[in-house]
Amino acid sequence: MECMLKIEDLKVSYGNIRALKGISLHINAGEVVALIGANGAGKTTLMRTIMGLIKPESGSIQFMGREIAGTETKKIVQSGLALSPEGRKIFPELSTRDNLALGGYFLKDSEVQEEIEKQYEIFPVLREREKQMAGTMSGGEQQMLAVARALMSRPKMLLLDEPSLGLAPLLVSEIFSLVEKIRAAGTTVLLVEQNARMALKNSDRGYVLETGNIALEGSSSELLGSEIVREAYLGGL
Amino acid sequence: MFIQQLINGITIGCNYALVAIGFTMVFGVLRLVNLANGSIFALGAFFTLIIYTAMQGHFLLSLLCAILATAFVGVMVDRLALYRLRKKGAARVSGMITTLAIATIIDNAVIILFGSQTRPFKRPKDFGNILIGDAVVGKLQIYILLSILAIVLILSYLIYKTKLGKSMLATAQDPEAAMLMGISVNRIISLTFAISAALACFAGSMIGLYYQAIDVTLGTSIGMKTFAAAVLGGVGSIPGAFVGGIVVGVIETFVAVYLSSGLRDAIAFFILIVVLLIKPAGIFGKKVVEKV
Ligand SMILES: Nc1ncnc2c1ncn2[C@@H]1O[C@H](COP(=O)(O)OP(=O)(O)OP(=O)(O)O)[C@@H](O)[C@H]1O
Ligand SMILES: [Mg+2]
Repeated sequence: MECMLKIEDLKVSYGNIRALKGISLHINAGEVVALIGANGAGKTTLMRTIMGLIKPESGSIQFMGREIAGTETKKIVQSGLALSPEGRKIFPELSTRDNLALGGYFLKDSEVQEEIEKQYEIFPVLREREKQMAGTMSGGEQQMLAVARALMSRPKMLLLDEPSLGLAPLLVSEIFSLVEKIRAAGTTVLLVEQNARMALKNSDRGYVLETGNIALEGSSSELLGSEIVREAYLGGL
Repeated sequence: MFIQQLINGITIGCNYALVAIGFTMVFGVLRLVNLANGSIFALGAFFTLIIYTAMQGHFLLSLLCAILATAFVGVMVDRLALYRLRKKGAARVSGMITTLAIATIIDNAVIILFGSQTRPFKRPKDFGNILIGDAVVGKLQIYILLSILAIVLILSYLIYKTKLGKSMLATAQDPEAAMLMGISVNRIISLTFAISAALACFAGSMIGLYYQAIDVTLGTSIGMKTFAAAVLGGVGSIPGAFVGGIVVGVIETFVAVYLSSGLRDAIAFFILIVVLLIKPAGIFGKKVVEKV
């Protein structure tokens, strides 16, 4: 299998607090990989570093064979990565449509229209909310918008940071079935979740992050069965 | 008399509005109170005057050159000072204090280059007057009003209807999310400073033409008045800054005429205090929770 994202010995610090202490992981083309871990483990830090929002102290991030560690976010987006960030971060005072259009910042105008149509098909609720200010939408709708906006750039790989946070159970399963759809459409997915069970049930492989280190890795079914994961992340069930 | 003063107030107010719009745009993208905005205004007016004097005629061409020069200074203020602070993650208040220092530098540069005395600002021609009812209105006033209206309309179109404008709005609403879209946030910030400085230069030159004189202290008082205007309209809101500017201009004109001309420059402070006491979010402002 072709390796799409390869991270080696990545170290990231905030001031003198080291949040990532030398992480290595890889994601193959076409995979859905889950990254689970407790609060403060460093999941969001890893996502932001991949996207170039934080400069790493050392280590390498290779995307499709090219080193991207420390490059400008714009370049990273253009190379085919997109992030639906933690806390959604939609533009509250722009309409749903404008939010989506900005997601397709590098597309031609005609492609933007095409892509918006595509997102409306995947997320029909967004079409109904097309003209509504994004900040006035419900949490679930905003989450859909955040994911759709990230997909607008036609990424080769989508990073999702806690897409199920704060959603009702029904919406949570909707989001996860969406992940499968996204993969089927040819996009590789790295999924960060607190909801470890759901994440592992809906992914091929998983990594467990513990205070800045990868504590465990393996196929998702292996991880679901492992004692350590069960006790620490699945509530001992 | 009343109509006459109202029109005078609106003429002055429109210029405040332009400067306030620039101030509020910079605040919008950076959450930065730019205390150098008034100094940029005076600098722009001096640029126009000097270029106009040197070129002997061609007022519009001089104005255009001055606008470009002032916009360049605006961009440099950001690149040389504020950008470096942002990169280091400095506290917001450091940015504000830095703009105060920049204001001092610009004011003194103006004094060194152009002198501290009041300079006559020659009009390209005698524009003449027209009568509206029994009010005598200068044609120059009409030109100023119409050109500012045109600028505001074009600027609104640019900001609310184009892709560039929407990326500015996006940057103002969430800079990090804007970066994730692939927007070059630093370029948007430079552009915002350029627009803000260009607006200040235009207003400064119009005020110069209108009063037929400029001096460096004008910057400080305009800085205060447009700050009051932006707060009155709701800081960060462009329509708010426009309305706020006109209201400040009209109120100060009426106060000067009907109460005391000595109060003209003090009234902005009074408006500021009243707004902060009664409706701190301003007319168009939303209650914003300060992002930390
Ligand atoms: N801007 C920051 N400045 C200082 N420390 C930070 C900053 N952002 C994160 N940290 C610290 O880095 C560590 C990792 O944080 P991170 O947000 O990556 O965790 P996370 O795994 O995403 O947690 P959660 O599940 O709660 O979202 C934490 O200890 C956090 O306090
Ligand atoms: Mg997180």
